[in-house]
Formats: sequence, C-alpha cells, structure tokens
Amino acid sequence: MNTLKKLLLAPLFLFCASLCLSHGATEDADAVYLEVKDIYTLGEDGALSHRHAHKVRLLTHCAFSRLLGESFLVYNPAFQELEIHECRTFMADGTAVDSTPNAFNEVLPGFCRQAPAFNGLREMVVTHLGLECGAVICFDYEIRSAPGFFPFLMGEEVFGGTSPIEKKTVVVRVPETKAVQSAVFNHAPLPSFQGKEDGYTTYTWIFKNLPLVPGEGMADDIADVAPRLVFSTCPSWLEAARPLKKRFDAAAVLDEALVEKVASLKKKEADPLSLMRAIHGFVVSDVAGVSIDPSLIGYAVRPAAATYRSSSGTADDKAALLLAMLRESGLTAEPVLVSQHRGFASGVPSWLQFRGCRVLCTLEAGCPGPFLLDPGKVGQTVHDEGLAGRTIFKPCSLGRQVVTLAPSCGQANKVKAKVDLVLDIKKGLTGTVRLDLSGALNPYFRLVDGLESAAAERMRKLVPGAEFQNLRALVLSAERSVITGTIKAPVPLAEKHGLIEYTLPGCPGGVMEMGIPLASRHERRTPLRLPRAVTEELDLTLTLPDSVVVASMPEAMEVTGLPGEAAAALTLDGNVLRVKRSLTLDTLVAPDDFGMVRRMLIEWSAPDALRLVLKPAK
Amino acid sequence: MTPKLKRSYRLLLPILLLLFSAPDLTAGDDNEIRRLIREAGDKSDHPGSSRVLVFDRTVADVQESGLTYVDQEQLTKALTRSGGLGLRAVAFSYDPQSALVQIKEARIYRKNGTIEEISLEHVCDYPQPARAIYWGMREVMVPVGRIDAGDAVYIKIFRKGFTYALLGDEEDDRYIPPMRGHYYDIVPFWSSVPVKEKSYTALVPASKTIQYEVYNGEVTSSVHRKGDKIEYRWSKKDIKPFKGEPNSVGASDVAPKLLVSTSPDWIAKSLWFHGVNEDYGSFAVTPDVQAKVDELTADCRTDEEKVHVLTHWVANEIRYSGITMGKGEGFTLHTGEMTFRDRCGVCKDKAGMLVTMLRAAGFESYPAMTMAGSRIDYIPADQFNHCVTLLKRGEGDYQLLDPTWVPFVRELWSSAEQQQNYLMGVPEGADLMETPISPPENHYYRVKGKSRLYRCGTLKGEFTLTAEGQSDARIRRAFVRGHKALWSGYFDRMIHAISPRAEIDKLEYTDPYDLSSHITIRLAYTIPRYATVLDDTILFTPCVARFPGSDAGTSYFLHMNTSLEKRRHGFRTRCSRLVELDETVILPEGFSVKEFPEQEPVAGSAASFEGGYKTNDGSLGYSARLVLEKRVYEASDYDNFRAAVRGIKKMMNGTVVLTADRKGEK
Repeated sequence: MNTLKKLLLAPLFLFCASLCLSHGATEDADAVYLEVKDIYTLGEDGALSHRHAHKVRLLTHCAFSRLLGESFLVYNPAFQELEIHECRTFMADGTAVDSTPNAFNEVLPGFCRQAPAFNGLREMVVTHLGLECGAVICFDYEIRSAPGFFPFLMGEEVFGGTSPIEKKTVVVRVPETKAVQSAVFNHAPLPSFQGKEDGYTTYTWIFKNLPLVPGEGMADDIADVAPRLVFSTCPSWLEAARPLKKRFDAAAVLDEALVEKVASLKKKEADPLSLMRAIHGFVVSDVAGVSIDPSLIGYAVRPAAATYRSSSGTADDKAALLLAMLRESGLTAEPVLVSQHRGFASGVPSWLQFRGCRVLCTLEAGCPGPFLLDPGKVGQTVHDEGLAGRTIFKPCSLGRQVVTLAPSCGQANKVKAKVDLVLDIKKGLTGTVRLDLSGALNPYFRLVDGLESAAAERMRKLVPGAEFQNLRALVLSAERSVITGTIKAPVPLAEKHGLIEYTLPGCPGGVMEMGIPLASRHERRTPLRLPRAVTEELDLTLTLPDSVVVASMPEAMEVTGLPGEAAAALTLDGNVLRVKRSLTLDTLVAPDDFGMVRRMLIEWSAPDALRLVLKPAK
Repeated sequence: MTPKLKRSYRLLLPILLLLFSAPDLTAGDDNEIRRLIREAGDKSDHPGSSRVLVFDRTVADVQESGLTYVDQEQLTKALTRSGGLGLRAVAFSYDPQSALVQIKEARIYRKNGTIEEISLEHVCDYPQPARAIYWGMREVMVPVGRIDAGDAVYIKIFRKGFTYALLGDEEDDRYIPPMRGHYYDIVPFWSSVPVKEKSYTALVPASKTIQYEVYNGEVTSSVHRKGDKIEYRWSKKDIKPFKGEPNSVGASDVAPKLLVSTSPDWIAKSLWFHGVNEDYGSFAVTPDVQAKVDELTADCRTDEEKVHVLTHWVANEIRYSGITMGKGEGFTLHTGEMTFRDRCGVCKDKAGMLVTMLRAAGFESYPAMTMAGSRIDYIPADQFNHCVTLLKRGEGDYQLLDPTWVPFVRELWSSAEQQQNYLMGVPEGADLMETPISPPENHYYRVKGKSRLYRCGTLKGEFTLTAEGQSDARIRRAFVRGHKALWSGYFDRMIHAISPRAEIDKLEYTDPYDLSSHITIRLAYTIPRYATVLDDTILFTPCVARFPGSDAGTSYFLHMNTSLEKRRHGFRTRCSRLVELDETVILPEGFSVKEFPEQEPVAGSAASFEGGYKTNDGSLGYSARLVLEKRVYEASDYDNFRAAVRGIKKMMNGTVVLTADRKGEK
C-alpha cells in the first residue's frame, strides 16, 4: 500500500517541487544551503526529538562575517537536552576544521534579562570556525524534550530564507497509533511520502531549489511568503484547548493584594469601559514583559499573583493576570491565542500556529467591543489592525474555539478632512478643520482621554504650525469620531522670490505617514504589506485675497483598477481654490502590482503633486 | 558594532562601580536608613528621574599583591513606578576566571515602614547574555520583585579580583590583577540618576605609592593612616544627573571621575604589555601561517604592498567573533596559530594575527592598546578597550595598523580613530601617545555632474561620485555589510532622495569588495516634472547641489544636531572630511538666471565652506567645498563647524529662479 502510495504521489510531488524551482540563480545570494534536514520524532512515552542538520556554502564575506558565523540554539534545560552531533567546516580547499570546545558557549538568552523566573533558559552559541568564502559549514544538532513538556508533537517548518536552498527535507516520525495532520502553505498541495518501520509511521516532505526570499521593505514575514509546513498529532481543537484551559484557569487566581487593587480601581472607574481600560493599563505598565516564545517553556503560565509580585512575565503570564483582574472586577473575559502567520490551517490543531496571547473582554450591551486586549500594550484605537485577518484560538470557550477575524478594510479605516482656509492680505492662513475619522484611524481612546491635545495634534498635520481653538467632538464613538477646530491665530506663509509656495497636506493617518518604501524601482519578489488598508479624502478650500493669484497648481490625476485608487482635482472659482483628493489603498500589494501602485503613490505624493504656487496679482 | 578589546568588560566595570559601592553603614541601623530614604525626597525633588541613589559606598582593601577586596553598599529609592520596575532584579557581572562577586545582604525598605529581607537563597548565578564575545562572563542577580514608588532597595556585595587576570595556581592568585602588585581603579562621580551621596575608600598598603587625580569636577578627599595602611577617601554629595549633549565626546571625558593607580607610569604598563605577550608566545610563526604569508606576498614588489596585503587579509578574513583561550584571556593575545585556524577573534586576536603575519614576512611588529570612544587620561589606570598593531618602519618609528576597523576599508589605519590615545607594547617601552589628525583630502567625497533642464521641468543628467578613505568606506559599508540581494536598493534610495520621480537611466559602480581602487559610481538620470514651471519662471535646485548620497551613513555630519546654539562640551564627527560638489546645468533656451542662493564663505581652523553659483552663456555652474578638519572638536570649535555645515545645508535647500527673457522653447 505504501509503495503504491509512493508511486501515485511521486509524479505529483515532482510537479509541485518543480513549481518552486528557482531561477537557479545564486549571483545575488550570500550563501547557498546545499541541504537542510529536520527530523521530528514522537516517542511512545511522549518524549519529543527535533534533529536539524544543514550544509551551507558561504559565498561572500558578509555571509561569514555577519550572517552565518554563529548558530544560536535556545533551549530549556529543565525539560530539554541539547546534543551537537556535528559542527565542522570544510574550508574552500577541503580542509576540515572541527569546532573546538571553546566554540560552544552557553549564555542566558538576552530576552531573559531581569527575569529571574526564566533564568534557567539557555542559549547555546556555536561559533563556526575556519570560515571563508567557498567554505561549507556542516552543522547537526538535536534537541530532545522530556515527556509531558508538550502534550502532542506539533511543528512548523519554513522552506525558504534569505539564502537559497537546494534541498530541504522534513521527516516526522510518530508511533503507528498516532496520526499526523498537516498542511502546506504558499505552495501547491504537497502530500508527504509515508512509510512504516519499527512501529513508527514516517512522513517525509522534500522541497528542492528554493529561491532566496529577500528581506524587502514592508514585506510579510518569511513564513507567509515561502512554502511552510505545519503538522500536529493533536486530534482536535478541543484536545488542543484542554491543557491550555487548565493552565489559564489555574493561573488566573488573585491574591489578597490584587483583589484589593481591583477593588480600588473599581471604586475609581464609573463605567465598564473605563474599568476595563484601567485594569488593562495597570497590567501593561506595572508588569514588565518578557519576550519568550511560549514553546520554550512548554506553554506554561505562571500564577497571576507571582507575575505581579515579580513585576515581570511573559505575554501568557500577563494575560492570565489581566484575565483574573477583569474577572474579579465583574467583567467577562477569556484568554485567546492569535495566529502568528496569515495562513492558518484549521485542520491542524497545533499551538505553534499561534504566537501572541490576548484577552477577549466583552462588555455589557450598549458598550463598545468586544476587545482583544494586548497585555503588552495599550492602543489608541478600538480597532487593532495588527489582528485583521488573523485567526484566534479560544481555549476556554465552550463555543467555537477557532475564529478568523475580518480582514483589513480600506473603507472601514477612513479619514475625511474638510479644511477651509482663508489667506489674508498679510499672507496668514486662518480657517477651520473638520476631521471625520473611522476604524483604525479613529483614535477613540486618545480623544476620550484628552480631546484637545489629540485633536490638535491631528489637525496640525493639515495646517502645520497652527494652534487650534474651539476644539469639539461632534461625534465621539468607538467606530467613528468627528472633530472640528478653528485656527487660533493666522499661520504665516513664507514668501520667497516674490512667490508663496503652499504644500497640500496629507491626511492624518494616511499613506504619507506609512513610510511605504517607494524608492525601490525594482520588481518586488514579495508582496508589499501595508500596516492597514486606508481611505483618505481631503476636501480643501483656499480663499485668496484679491492681491494674490495662483501661479501654478498640481495637475489633476485619476488612477483606478489597482489594489488602490487615487484621484485629485483642483478647481479655481474666482478667488476660491478647491482641492479634492481621495485615495484608497488595500493592505496587500502583489509583486506584479507593485510597479503600478508605486507610480500611483508617487503621483499622489511627489513634491510637484502637492505644490501650489501663489503670486501677487498684477 | 564597534569591536573592542574586552569591550563589554571595560564598559561594565564603571557601570558596576556606578551602581554599587561599599561600607560602612552599620548593619541594623534601619532608622538611619529610613531617615536617609526620607530625606532623599520624592519625584517632585528630582524632576525627570525615576529613581535616586540614596547612597553608593565602596571600600577597596588593597593587598600587597594588588589583590583587592571590595565591599559595596547601595541604597536606591524608586521615585516612580517605572523606577521600581527597573529595580525588579539587580544583576552584577563578573568573569569567574579572575573575579568573584557575592551578595551579602539584600532588603527592601517599604514606603509603609516595613522591611523585607530578600533571601539570599534566591540569588541567581548564571552565564551572562552575550553577543560577539564569548568569554564565559557570568552574572549574579538579586530577584527583588515588585517595588513601588517610595520603596527603596538596599544591597550589599563583596567582590574581589579584576576583570582580567593571568591565572595562578593558589587559591586567591586568580584574583590578583594582571600587573601583579599593582592596583588601579576608575571611579565615575557622575550618574544618569541623582545621587545623594557617593564615596570611594581605598585602603592601600603604606609601602605602595598611589597616584590619583579627579577629572572634570570636584570631589572631597582625605588621607589618613590606618595601621600599616593608608586610607584614601573620596566623596561627593548631591550629584545631579549628568546631561550630555548630542554628538558629544564620551561622558567620561567631561563628567567628574577619579582615576587612581599604583602603577608608576605608562611606560611600565607598556613594558608589561609587551612582556606578557612575548612571554606567552602570541606571535610564534607556524608553518601554516608562514605558508599563507608566502602565498599572499608572492606577487608583492615592495614592503608597502606586503603590509597592505597582509593587513587587509587579516581585516577581511579573520571575522570578529571572540571565543576564549581560557587561562590568560584579557591582555593576552591569542596565538597566531589559534586565530589562523579559527579564522575569528576579537580586536586583540586580529591585531595578534597581523603581528604574527608581519613577523613571518620579515617585519618587526608589536601590538598596542587604545581606547576607542573616549580619552585616556594620564594616571595609568587601565583605560583601554581596543587593540591594534604596530609596524616598525625603517626610520625606527612605528606605523599603526588596525585590522579590526579596516575590513573593506582602503586605509590600513582607520582614520575614524584619529585623535585617539594609544599605548604601544614595545620592547623599549613607550609613553601614552595620540594618533594624528588625518587630512580631510584623504577622505574626499566628490560629485561632479552635468545636466540639462527642459522647459517642461524635466531634469536630465548624470553625475560621477568618487570617494576615498573613510568616505569611500562608508559607501562600501552599505554593500559589504548587507545582503547582496538588496544592493540595488542603495542607488534607488540615493536617487529617490533627489526626487521620487527620478528614474535611473544608466548605472555603473565599482565592486564594493574590490579594494584596489576607490569607489566610483556613475549614474545617469531623468527626473520628469522636477522643476516648478510657471508662465515665465522656473524654480529648481540642481541635482548635485542636493548632495547625492547625503544619508546619515555616508554623511553623518549633515545629520548632527546643529540647532544647539552653544556647546558646553567637545563634540565629534566620524572623521575629517572633504566634500566637493560640482555641476553644470544647461538651461532651457530662452531662460536666464534671475536669482540663486548665496552663502558667505565660512572659514576657520575647524571647518570651512565655500560654495555658489556662476552663470555662463545658457548654463549655470554650481560648485561647493566643505572641509571638516578633524574628528574630535573643542566646544570652542562649534560656531565654526556649525556655520560650515549650515552653509552646505543652505545650498542644498536653496532654489534657483530662472525667468524667460524671450519665449521659451519647449
């Protein structure tokens, strides 16, 4: 049967493998991986082993002096053993140089600084010796985890990196009684080879000729671009949830001091939203974060009181503290894990598909929300664009445990600016500003906390140098806020060479603030991922005095049909200049579209597209 | 990252001293401590600070061997909750090969009056986080836990030993300082947080002569006889947080500090350093090294060529990564054999490798110690963080070579290290010296271009950028230190900074990995709608006047903060520089220059600038020359330096105005 399977699957495999054949180019590579092999084994007793081996040829000085001179292996000696099987360099002339004992140095991982609770973790720094251009590093190590460290075999492998790979193999070995769920992303479907031996089932995936993935600006994580395999022996999400629920339930318990703290916060805050924000703010600012990948500590969660007393904790620890405090205050809250990559395999129940931990807090009817509170930071907006399109896992939920969140939507994240300006005869600008902000561009919490400063800060982006008065919120809600203000004192425009240059402003939160890497004239190899989809609209009128006329103004533009649209029109009616500019941009720009989108954004933001020149009337 | 000799160690020592000092607050005198905590004030007394050091006391008991037992006591009060967060765990670094740190007491004085002892059982001892240098450093950490505003943390430690030592066999030998019998220390009397009281006491055997000096400020001092020892005591109260200035010289050059040493002079240190490495055999030439040197120098026709080839081989092929040699690590340079085999090392090992290879090639060569980043003062307390190579020339003098700072730099000695103190480890001994100023013309950055402006506003042209020395190095760095796949981005950014509409028509550049010639970039461009075109007027700035490549990496001086009106302290750039910009623009037919930016020449001993436009028949010429004379400047140089840098910035942002003298041709 297995042989038959192999025969049937082989052509399919070869076809799929050919899809990722590179151009065969290494001319822009600093190194090339000749072979990479990862073997995952689940023992009968639940012990896990991950063995990794690679051979990499160094092509440039940068490769050995900056990129690949050391290997850094973080592990947890409390549950894990590290064994280096081979660490040898073949120099360009074939001379073998083995790493000497002093080339293996255990240090504390940098992210465990000032965190006594995680002081046991170790990072083995392996210094590769004898490196030079043309040398090949052969490195082979294994990390074995004790039974119980993980309840299941769960894994993830990315088939790509900043160097090309000639061949990468992933092998998963499990007892015959266990089944492996798997999925491959960013690649045509690629089933594994399966074999049986000594009571174990072996699954094998092989990829060949994987091109390098350049680290382009504003690109997705490499795991969202290169082929990626996820696998797990966990049979269901319910099974995956059970141990996590147990850990969070055990951890989310307060001691007397914390109960008192909640009571004092509750006394100060009148409404549920304010209370939730106060508790959230307390956990964020009062407990330092320790950025530990939860897989290094077996997804352990420390008791809330211990986290509080030590003043530091992982995201999961802080989430448990936040969870407990919210519950103590009477609010409804549950922990959730957030997917770490954009692609999500709903058929592969694996904790490793998640990275960040949040607390889902639902307030009573009539209040905004629900909120996915980040225990590491407080946001300005109700909408967290970082979560758009992600999948969340609710281990404590009795209902649906895996939920995919809505993707980023340009129409939802909107800024509409209405600016009415008058230029007086002394070349000073006065007027009013009205900002209509929604979605991720609505700084609801900042406006609630301090309307005047938050509103003026945004309005100054439309009228640089202006001070504002009569700042009001016509609408102030979690979804949408409308704020208005009047320029307090005339803002002088500089006159040079007998001319006045006025630059049309970008909208606050708009694309001109995103730092999109427009310099790159070359074709992108990876998609451009913007921080958010956005729609911005500027409706500006500028009334000129009789003594001033328009000498030059930007050309009109209109671009449609891309992962974005832009239009700009300027009309002069007597002494009133009216500017209407609008732009919508999706969050994702495919490499093929980048050139056109880049041109559109340059048309939108180039100095000449924003420059208005005024001169004295004759 | 700047490679340095025992870098992390030397940085840690002052920090450690700053954080913790010693006795003699009688244990149990909690009322006195409570009073001091109370009198230390709250956040309204220390605006901008999150904590205050209530006291910081050190007593160093020096033995005849130079071995020093140090007791340190520190009491820190949190003024804010964030200050408390910073105290949640307190760590001390040490090298187990030559030093020992023990936590003797730790307790928390709560704002509400309670006292909590921190059990010493919970003190952690673990390998220190590390990057680039892996010498087995460790830390001991007191897990303090939650500290609120108003709480204070008291910690008492004992330590002995030095950061580096040549290990001996007896119990305490490992802690005896490298120069046996001698003691030295560097004690900062400045801090980034307010300090109510800081004291440093040294109990020195009467047989030893001590030299000390307080720099950059005043400290109370006293000397008393205590049995067979002399007690020297220095103290200071109410130390305000040190406020630096952007681009200032190192804080230790301008903030109060004490240097104390029993070493007679730098010559003694020089002789000792020479002896340590010669005795160890750091520079023994092995057959493998000899064969490599012979291979590398086979085609060299002169000694200069040999030195060039060998220095760059070590610079480029021995990567910066430090693994320990165990016993003797510190001032002992790894053997050439070890470094050649490992193909890696820190600055001292790279320096040692070059000494070995130069000797193999028949040259006389030694190592030298230096201090990158700040001044070495004349009291011979150890103030080194970097190691370089010396080549004895025919005239009997020494040439400095720095294989750590010249990977893919055309220089043999990095001029980014000009005006830097160094001490040679030579057989005849040497006094402290300073590296000379490197002439700006050795680091030129020249852009010469020609272009044509069209009536429609399009600018089309080309320029050639050539650079030498450190200017060349800064451009190369953008390539050799990054992924090759992203090289093209450098030119994209360069032209995008001139205009986002700019298109590159043609591009040629020399191989950044090839050091045989200076870097040259030839770039042809077209920029549609570059100029602002009105009916009878055109406004624009010539491309070269915009200073192509003026990013912070290449032209750091342009990105220095020149908004400060005055400076209290000296300041520094990366290197002396010469910038020359030159362009001829052919103007649209029918247009002539009405107005162009003008800038009075700036002249001075620190910097100068001269630049401006000239019109010719149908064309416009621009030229500019900026000279930055050195790397480290006095505060009094600032006006001159600032005027010169502002001069070129003004020209970069200035606008040329053309007017139609007859109907322009499109």
